[in-house]
Amino acid sequence: MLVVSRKKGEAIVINDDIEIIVSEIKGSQVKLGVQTSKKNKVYRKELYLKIKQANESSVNFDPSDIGDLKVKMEKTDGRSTNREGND
Amino acid sequence: MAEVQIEKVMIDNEDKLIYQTPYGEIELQEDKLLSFSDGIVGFSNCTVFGLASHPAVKNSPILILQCVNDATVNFAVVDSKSLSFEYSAEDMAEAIKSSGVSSKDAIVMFILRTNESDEGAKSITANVKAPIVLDATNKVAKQVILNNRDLSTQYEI
Repeated sequence: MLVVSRKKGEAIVINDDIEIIVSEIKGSQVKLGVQTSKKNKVYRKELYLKIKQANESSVNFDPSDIGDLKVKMEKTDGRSTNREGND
Repeated sequence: MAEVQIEKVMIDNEDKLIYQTPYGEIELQEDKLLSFSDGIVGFSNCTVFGLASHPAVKNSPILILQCVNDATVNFAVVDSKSLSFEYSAEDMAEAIKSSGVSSKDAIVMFILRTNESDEGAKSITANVKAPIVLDATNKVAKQVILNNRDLSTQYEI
């Protein structure tokens, strides 16, 4: 891992399109500003991992529970659940 | 007569992609595949998906989102409109904006998962924190992560 010392207001640049600037230092907390094009998605790591983990555990959805779900949804919601593509 | 029928079956096979899923056999229509340019979080190689209705349960609100790049990856999803859950106007606006889809074409879907409590009770939850926003007309889709801290990856339905 590359480790760089930066002071407040200083920045690092990654490739041509990512700039990370130290915008504030307060005690043990650092505020970073990230400037990048829209195609690069920037997330707090813990949030990214949470979504990743949620997706990974969703792949193994248990299809045997689907019958119960149908009943549940009809109970809680009166709206039609028929959509295009279903017969 | 018999010959004509055989020919038809062959044409069908060319137009459709068939997958074996835990839900049963599903067919995807090649011309309706959705492009996820960013992939799904944690599945960055999965950039093409198809949606199929549930093969075994008639009129189920659950659809199968099948990855074409990796046949072993599929999700059970549900249209947000078939749940009683509703986003605030602000969250909805953010979902649309982050997805890049125009609001009139946007369909919001949630990935489902099963949870088992310590006591063994099963419940189904929807990931309302990171919905899939898709545009069936232009055949593009994206999983967006919403900022609102109150939204859960495991909203119980």
